[in-house]
Amino acid sequence: MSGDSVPRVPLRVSQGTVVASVQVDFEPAVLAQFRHDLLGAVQRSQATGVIIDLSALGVLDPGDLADLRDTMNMASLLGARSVLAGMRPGMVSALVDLDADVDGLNGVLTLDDAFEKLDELRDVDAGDSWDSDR
Amino acid sequence: MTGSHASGMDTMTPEGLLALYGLKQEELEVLRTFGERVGDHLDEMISQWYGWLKTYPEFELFFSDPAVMERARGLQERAWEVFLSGKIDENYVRRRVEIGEVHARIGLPLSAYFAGINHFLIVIGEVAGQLGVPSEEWVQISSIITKLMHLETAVVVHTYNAVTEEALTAQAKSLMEMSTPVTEIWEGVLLLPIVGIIDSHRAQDIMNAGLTKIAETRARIFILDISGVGVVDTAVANYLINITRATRLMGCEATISGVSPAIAQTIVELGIDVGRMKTTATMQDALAGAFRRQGLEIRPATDGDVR
Repeated sequence: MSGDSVPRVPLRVSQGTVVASVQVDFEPAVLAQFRHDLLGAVQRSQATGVIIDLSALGVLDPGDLADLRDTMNMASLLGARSVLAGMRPGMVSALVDLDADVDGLNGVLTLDDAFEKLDELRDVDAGDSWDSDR
Repeated sequence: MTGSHASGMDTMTPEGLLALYGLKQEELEVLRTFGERVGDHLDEMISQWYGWLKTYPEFELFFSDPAVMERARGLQERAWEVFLSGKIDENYVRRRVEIGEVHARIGLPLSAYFAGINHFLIVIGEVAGQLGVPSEEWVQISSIITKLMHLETAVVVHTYNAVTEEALTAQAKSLMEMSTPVTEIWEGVLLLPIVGIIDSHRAQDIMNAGLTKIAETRARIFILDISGVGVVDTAVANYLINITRATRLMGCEATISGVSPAIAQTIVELGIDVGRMKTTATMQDALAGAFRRQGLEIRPATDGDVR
């Protein structure tokens, strides 16, 4: 994993949240690099939230999604809840048609919605939520 | 013109049809000679045939207008003239295609058409008897007539079916397009009442229409009302669960409203795991839930509010 030839996903930290803006199609090498970078960023910034912005992504197959889900679970072990932002209708219906495992994923349309959703999730973690069956 | 409805009919050339039904030119010649003999009686035969038709229960339905009947009779006389002349050409096939189209368009049942054909054969037999056609000769002629009759009905029925199918396809398509009116009934709240049957094709339509609308309106809640859906089986439940999953990926919670006791019973008895799918008995409950989620409340207007 030298990282020089593999395209990287730009990461930014804002309001205790790591925002990843995915601009390149996922390939195994890209996903591995992304996982490495993201988990590192979460640890360094002590972030409590991760937003993965997929609005610029063309294709996402069920395998990629499963990989992303693993990454998000890892982030969760580091104390950061994750939200997927900006998936487009075609991508979503294709994933569901292909029987991808999407249960329990938090999806939202925009970055604003993503920050809002993360606040909600943090509240839940803090144990003062109206939604007890989360 | 040989087939605005000619799917598969392109091979139905006069030569092809004659070969398919084993009709030889000599036989058509025999038919032609016979046709010349009965030609003078054609008008009388058709009168007799219409006499029979009047006893047919659906007659009134199709021929209540004398002008229509006059026209039909003229066309029919022409058709039988051609039939008895044994001239099987492009023109003949085209006329038969037209007969099929007309019958399909006015909704005349095929059973009536077959009964009519059958009765005309009987009438021809009677006329042949009156003319004193020797029985050996009649055996040959009737076999030729039967073959040609089969050829003719094949063309008519083929066209009839093509027209009916076309109408059905068009109908199904327009129904499908009307069937997914996803509406934003309140800011952030979408409603789709589903009426009828949910099959895989329609489920796909619902999913696409719903997701597109969610992206467009940034809706947070999508209510699917299934009180108009007759049957909910495992497949339908799975479509609904999938739609719920998909909307959640777009930050929108789907609620299935209008779940009747019978449907609830079926779902549990079939052992379907509805997971985190939200369901309510009535649309009212779903709406109330939606407003609550949106931080809105509905309360009676005080006097000052009423305008």
